[in-house]
Amino acid sequence: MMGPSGSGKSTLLHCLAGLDTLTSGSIRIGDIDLAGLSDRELTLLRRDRIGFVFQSFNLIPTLNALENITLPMSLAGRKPDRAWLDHVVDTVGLRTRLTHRPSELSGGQQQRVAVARALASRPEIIFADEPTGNLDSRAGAEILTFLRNAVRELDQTVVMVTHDPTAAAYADRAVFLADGRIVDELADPTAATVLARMQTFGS
Amino acid sequence: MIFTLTIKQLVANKIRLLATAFAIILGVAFLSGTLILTDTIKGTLNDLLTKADAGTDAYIRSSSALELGYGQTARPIDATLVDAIRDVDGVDKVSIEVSGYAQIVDKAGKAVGTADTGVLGMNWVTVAELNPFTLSSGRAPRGPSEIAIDKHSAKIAKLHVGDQTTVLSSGEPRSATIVGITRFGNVDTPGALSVVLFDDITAQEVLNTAGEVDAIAVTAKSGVSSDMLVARLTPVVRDANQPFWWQRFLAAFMPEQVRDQWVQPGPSIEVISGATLTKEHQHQIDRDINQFGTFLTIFALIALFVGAFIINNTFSIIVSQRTKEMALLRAVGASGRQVRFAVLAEAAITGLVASAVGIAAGIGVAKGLQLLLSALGVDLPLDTLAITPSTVLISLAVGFVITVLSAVMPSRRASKVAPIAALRDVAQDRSSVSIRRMVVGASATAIAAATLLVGLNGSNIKIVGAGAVALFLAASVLGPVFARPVAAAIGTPLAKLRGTPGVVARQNAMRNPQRTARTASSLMIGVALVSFLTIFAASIKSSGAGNFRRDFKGTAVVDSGAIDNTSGLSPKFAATIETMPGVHAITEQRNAAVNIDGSPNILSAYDTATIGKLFDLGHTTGDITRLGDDGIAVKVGNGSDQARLGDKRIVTFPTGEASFTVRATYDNRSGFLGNQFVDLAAFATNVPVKLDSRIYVDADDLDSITNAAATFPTAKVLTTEAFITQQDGEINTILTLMYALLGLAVLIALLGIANTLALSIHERKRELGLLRAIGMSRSQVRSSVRWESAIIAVFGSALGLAVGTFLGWALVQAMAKDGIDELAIPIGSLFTVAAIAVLAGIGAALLPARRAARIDILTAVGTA
Repeated sequence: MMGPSGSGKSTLLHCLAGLDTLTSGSIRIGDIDLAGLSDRELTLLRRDRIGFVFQSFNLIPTLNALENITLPMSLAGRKPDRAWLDHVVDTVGLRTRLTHRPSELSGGQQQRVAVARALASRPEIIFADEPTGNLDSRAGAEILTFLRNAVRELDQTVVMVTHDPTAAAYADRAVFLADGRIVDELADPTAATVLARMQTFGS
Repeated sequence: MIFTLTIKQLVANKIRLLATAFAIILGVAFLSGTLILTDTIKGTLNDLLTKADAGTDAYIRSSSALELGYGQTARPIDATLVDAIRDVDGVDKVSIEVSGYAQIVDKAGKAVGTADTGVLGMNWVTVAELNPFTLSSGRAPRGPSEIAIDKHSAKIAKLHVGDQTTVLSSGEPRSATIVGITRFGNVDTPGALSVVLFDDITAQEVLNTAGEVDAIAVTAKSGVSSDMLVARLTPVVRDANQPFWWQRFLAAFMPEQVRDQWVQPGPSIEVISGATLTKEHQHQIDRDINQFGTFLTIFALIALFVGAFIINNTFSIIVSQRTKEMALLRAVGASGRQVRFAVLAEAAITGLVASAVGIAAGIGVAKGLQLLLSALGVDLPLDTLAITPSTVLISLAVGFVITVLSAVMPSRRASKVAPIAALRDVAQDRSSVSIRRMVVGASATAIAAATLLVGLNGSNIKIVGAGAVALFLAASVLGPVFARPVAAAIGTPLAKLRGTPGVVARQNAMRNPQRTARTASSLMIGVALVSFLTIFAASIKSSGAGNFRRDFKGTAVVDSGAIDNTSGLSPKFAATIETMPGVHAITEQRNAAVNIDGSPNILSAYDTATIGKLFDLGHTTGDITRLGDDGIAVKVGNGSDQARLGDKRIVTFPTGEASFTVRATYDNRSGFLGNQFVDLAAFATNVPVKLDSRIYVDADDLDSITNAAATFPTAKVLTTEAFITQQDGEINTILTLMYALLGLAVLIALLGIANTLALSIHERKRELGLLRAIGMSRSQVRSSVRWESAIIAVFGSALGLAVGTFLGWALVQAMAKDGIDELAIPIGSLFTVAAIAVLAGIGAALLPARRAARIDILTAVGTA
């Protein structure tokens, strides 16, 4: 999802993810309508079906990397699927950093832990809110590659908000928002096509 | 997982939780220290008494209609009963017991021991098994002029075997030679009791009446059990009792006058086993020590109550600081309950650990108090402290429950954090005040105040306590409503005087009214209680002084310092004064704890022929001077007692019941005469102890009375003004003790201020960094923190003064009928209290201020 500041990207994402409540309309994840859910049901939905990657403050500072990754499952009182967890951990390349606290990890590593957490519980959909916003371009490219791989190899659906055309180029589909409405979309975007499209809104 | 998270949070937040923990530790230490000390004293005394009573198989004494204190007896019994008992089969050895008031005088002419520490005269029991005393040096007293004294008194009075001394008693002072120094079990004397021992005959003469004893102790021959012995003695003793059941039965059919003649309410003598006696003694000791323990426990609970505010505040701050974290947890699937549980679990663990540390510290407190007691001359072998499972459980439970309860509201707030908050830049250090809070707070305050007033007027101490606690809680609910405008008002001159730091201090105190109010609340409680006590004590003093000056028509009061009728002045002194020239009127005063119409009360006795000349009795009905043997004068008015002439009052003395008729009423304002009195003669019929607690005199020549008092060293001859000063002094002593005990609550409150400031500073790191970056000096930062603390302290003190003044006013209103009818508000003292609180508040800010000033600009601005 792309769009200029104030276009409503984040609001839409928050609503989609069950973090914010709707005033009207409906949102469906699978066969569930989020609009009619209580706080408790939303909590369960987030825990079991949705994964998150935020721009910053993604991790609980007092828990180590592994504990952060398994947090949603622990909250649900479930044992993580060992094989899957190993696979995820290896995919994001955190094997050697699992016992480290967030403060002992670099920004890119912290974000990888966040991605791993989102993947670990096998959600139906992952929402990522400018996941590379606070990272340098190399670390950013890494995270985007992981998310891309998750889609390709793990069949994971990922919805990402960004205003970086390069980041948008990792997606299969780009949706453009302006003033709270979807104004355009691109299939198989590249940085160049995205940039060109954005300039047409800007003018 | 939530639990793991809790543990990790605890470890990460240990510094922040330190103040919380400290508040609990101090409160629990006080509580457990009190419990340990009282258990230890009880255990030690019980042990002593058990050993002292160990040799007694059966015990014969007159039964009491009222519960008596240790060492008190209902009515003496005829010594001839001893011979009858000696003849009973199974009786081995028999000894009489005689006890009463006796006190020796040291070489400087000063009485040894005081009514407060206890004075006692007894006979030296010649049967070793029945004698709790042992000779430490010298020999047993023999003959009318020999005594033995306890080693503790010998030490403090520097008296030795062979010394001459004077013995004070209810008779004439008599000289005696100390021939023995005694110990009691393994101590010099129980507690700090001063004991004088005589031989059997002398004890009867000095302490009672010749031919009368207080009790008879008996040992059994081998093979005869204690119960068997009691069974065999019972018929012998019953023969000595009058009247028999059939006499009572017949009496029911007799006309009243005849019955009174025929059936004297004679002493009923009973036989109990040694075990029963021990149990009774233990019960008496436990009751006394428990009262002392309850008094201390109240202050421990006050300290914990103040601590509860700090815990509540700390958790509120921690929760608001962790809003993002809580929101993130919620976003990744934690339910509201899980978040709430995490906070409560954190509180629970903190509470348990701190309580455990508090108990350990309590052992230290008990040890310290123990050393203090022995330094004060209380001789108790307290080397082993009694730490009972119940002490541990109670202390743990109290600390745990208070911590968890205090965290309930913050945990609810935590569970309500919206997941979306994780994504917002939440403003943490702000709060606002709702209309709801205003309405709820105001109505809660009104209800609490009403409860308090109802409790006070009904003299129901439990309702009063509940009302006071509710009032403090209500005031803390209402506090945030005032916090912003009050902080603004207090801060305004500050901002002008201190420039930017003043402005910053004012802003910071205003920005979060809830936090400011919560912090101030803990100080409010301390200041409220201190100012309440100050006002109440001042009111007692000024009412007492005013009433006494107005009502007392005599010129001097002779005070014995007695607190009950186990000590006092020999009536011989009053008799001496009476014969002096220039004495216009004199009356002795005696008091007894009795039941009147079934409820505990104090009955006083005066010379009713002269009391009207010495005291203004106000409006009287009937004739005070003609109460006779069965008449009682009752105070009326102020809604206290609506007595009418001719009403009956059933007075239960330890010796039995007596019926009195109201023959006079009075309504003077002073509480000095008590709520009812009888004539001295009528009193003496029912109370065998013949000791005066005070003598009121109207005489021209006080010097000769003072000179005569040299022979009676416990007598203090005081002019009206000197008497008032002495009364004030007694109140001041109690007040000082209470101030000291409240000191802990105030200390905890200050700790709370320091903690809140430290947490706020942690929260405002970026802001402080920014201020420093744009040119605020370190000392300006420090000063702004100190002034913020000052504003909070002024706010807390002002609230405290308001609540304290209300409490003082309410209690004085309620006690108007008891002679405390003049509300005195000592502005100077209250101002001092407030000033000390504010200065201490600034002091509490010193460390947080230094921390604030040391913040590194770059890291502060850089940290997210």
